Amino acid sequence: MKVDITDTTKLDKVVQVMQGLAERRRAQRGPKAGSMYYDLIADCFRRVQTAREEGRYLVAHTIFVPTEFLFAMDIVPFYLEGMCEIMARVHGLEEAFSAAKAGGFASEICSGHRLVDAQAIRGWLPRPDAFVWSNQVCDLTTKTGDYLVKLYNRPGFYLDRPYRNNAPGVQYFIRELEELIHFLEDLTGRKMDWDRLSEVMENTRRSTEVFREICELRKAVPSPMRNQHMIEMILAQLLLSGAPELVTFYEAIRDEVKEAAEKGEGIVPQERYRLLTFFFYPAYLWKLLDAMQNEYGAVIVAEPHLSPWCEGEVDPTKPLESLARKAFALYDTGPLEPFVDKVIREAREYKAEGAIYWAHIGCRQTCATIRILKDALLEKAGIPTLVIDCDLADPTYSSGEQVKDRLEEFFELLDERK
Amino acid sequence: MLVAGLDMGSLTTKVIILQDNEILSWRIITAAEEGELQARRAIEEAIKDTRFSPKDLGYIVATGAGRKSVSFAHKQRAPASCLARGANRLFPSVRTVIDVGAETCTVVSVNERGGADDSIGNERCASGTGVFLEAMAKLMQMPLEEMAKASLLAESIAEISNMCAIFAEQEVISHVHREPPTPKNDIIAGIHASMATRIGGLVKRIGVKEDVALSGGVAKNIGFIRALEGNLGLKLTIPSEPQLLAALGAACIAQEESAKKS
Repeated sequence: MKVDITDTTKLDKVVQVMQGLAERRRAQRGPKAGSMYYDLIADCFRRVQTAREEGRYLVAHTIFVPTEFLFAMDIVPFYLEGMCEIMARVHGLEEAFSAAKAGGFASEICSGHRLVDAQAIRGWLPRPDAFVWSNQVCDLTTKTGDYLVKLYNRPGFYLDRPYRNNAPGVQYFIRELEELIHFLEDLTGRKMDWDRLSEVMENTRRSTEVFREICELRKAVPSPMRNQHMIEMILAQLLLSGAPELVTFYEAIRDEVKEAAEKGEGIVPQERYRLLTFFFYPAYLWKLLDAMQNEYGAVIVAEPHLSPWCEGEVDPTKPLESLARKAFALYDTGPLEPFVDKVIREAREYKAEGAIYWAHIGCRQTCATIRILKDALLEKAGIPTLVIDCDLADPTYSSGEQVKDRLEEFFELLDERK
Repeated sequence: MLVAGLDMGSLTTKVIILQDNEILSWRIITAAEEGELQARRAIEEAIKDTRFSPKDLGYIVATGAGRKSVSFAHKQRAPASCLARGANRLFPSVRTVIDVGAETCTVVSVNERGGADDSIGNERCASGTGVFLEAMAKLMQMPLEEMAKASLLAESIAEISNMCAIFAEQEVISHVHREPPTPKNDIIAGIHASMATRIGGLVKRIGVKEDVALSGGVAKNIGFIRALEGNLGLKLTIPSEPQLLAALGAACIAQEESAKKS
C-alpha cells in the first residue's frame, strides 16, 4: 500500500478549532497560560500547513525524538502521536478508528498508534520529507515508523536508545544522535549550525529549569496547580522542546503557580485528596480532571511518569551529551527499580494520599508494572492505588460515567483512611 | 437509633433494619417498581416484622448500582465500602470479599477496621456473574439449583475456554452436540470452572488475603463455590444470607453515622 495523495485541508479545521479555544479562554479572562496552550498548538499546525510553500523541510517524528535538532536546522517538526490524536478528535474519532480497522489494525493495538496509522492510510497527513522514529517509549513505535516509511515512500531514521543508562549505553546513544544529525544534513543538503543548536539547547535548559521550579512549587499544601496543566505542559514539550515559545509557556504556568503558592492558596477552595497519577489521562476524559478538582477537591500533585522531563542537566555547549542525559531520565523503557524508588520518594515529598493508575488497554508494557507499583506504594508509602482500565484515545473502552463512579468509590475509601 | 441499610441491586433490592447493632429484620425483594419506589417498598416490607414504622428510621444508607436513585437516603455509599463493613461485622477475620451478583462482580480487600483498602470489579463483561449462570441454566434446560448440584457429580470438567458469555454458550452447544456428547454434569462443571477462572483472575489482581468471604446471589450455588475454592486453593467463608452482605454493611455505616450525629 502506498499513499499517493495527501489532504492537508484537514489541518485547516484543527487550526480553526484551536484558535477558537484560545479565544474562548481569553474571553473568560482566566490565567494567561490557559489561552497560550491553544495558541501554541494552533501555531504548530499552522507551521506544518505552510512548510512547503515557505520552502522548509517537514519531518514527521514520534515521541521523544529531539526536536532541538529540527529547530536548529529550520526544519518543521510534525509530532505524529500528539498531532494525530488532536486531528482525530477534531474530525471524528469514530471515523479514524474505523479507518484503522479497515487498515488491519486490531483494536487491541495502542489507540495512539492506530490514530497515526489511520490518518496516514487515508492520506489525511501532510506528506513529510522524512520520518524519524524512536524506541524511547515503546517497541510499537518502532513498527509504526517502519510502516510509515513504506507507506509514504520517504527516507527515515530510527533512533535507538539502549535499555541501560551506563557508560557504553550513553556513548552508543550519542553516536545515534550524531547519525541522526548526518541523516538530517543529507536530507536538507545543509550542515548543522552548531551555534544555532547551542541557542536552541539554551531554550531546553531554560524550559527544564522552569519545569523543575514548577514541580518544586507543587509540593505546597494546598496544591497551587490546576490538574490539567501538567498534561498541557507535556504535550507542549513534545511539540516544542528547544523552542522559545515553550519557555514562555512554562514561565506563564510557573508564575501562576508561584503566585498561588506564595499566598498559600490552593487551586480549589477545599482540598480533600492529594493524588499521584500514572501514565497519560485518557484524552477523551481531560474534562474529568477539572471535575475531579472542582467537584471532589481532588488535586493531582505529581505524575511520576511525566516528571522525568525535569531531570537531566542541560549544558548548551554539550548538546548531544545533554540530550542523552535527558533521554535516559525517561523511565518508559529501561529498568523498573529506579522508577519505583522515584515513585515512593514523590509519594512522600508531595504528601500524596492516594494514586490513580490509568491502565491503558493498548499499553502492555506500562500495564505490566501496575502491581509492582501498587504494592510498593501501599507497603512503603502507605497509600492505596486505584487502577482504572481505560484507553489512551478510544472513548468506546470506558465511559466518563463509569470512570467517575470508580473515582467516587476511591474517594470514599480515602475518606475512611483519614 | 433505628437505622436501615439498602442495597439497590440490578435485579433485587435488599434491606436490613438495625437497632443498637442488632438485626431486627431484613427483606430481599424483586418488584415491578424501580428505583426509589422499590426502595420504599422494601423498607415498608421489612419494617412490618418490627414494632416500628418507616418514619421511626433515624438514618438510612443506600448502596448498590441503583443507590443514586434513593433520594430519601441520608447517605449513599459505594458497594465496596459496604461489603467491607458487612464482612467485618459478621466475620472479623475476613480480609477479602468476593461479591458475585446478578450483573456485577466485585472483589474488596478489607482491613481490620472493616474499611475497604482496595476494590476491583468487572467493568466490561458479565461472564462472571449471575446472568451468565442463568443463561447457561436456560441452555442446559434445568433450574439453577439443580445445575449447581449437578456439577458436583461431574467425572471430569469440560473445557469452556471462552471468557465471553455469548461465545461460552456456543462452546456449551458444541459440547452437547459432539459425538459422543460431553456428559451434562461435566459441561456444568466446566461452566462453573470457567466462571471461577474469570473471578479468580479478578481476585488475584487485587491479591488474595485470607480469610476470603463469598457473597451475592451466586454464593448460593454450591457448584460454583467448589469451583472457586479449587481455583483459589482455599475454603471460602459464606454468610447464611449471602445476598445481604452489602445491605448489612450499609446498615452498619448508618449506625456509625447516626452515632456521630448524636
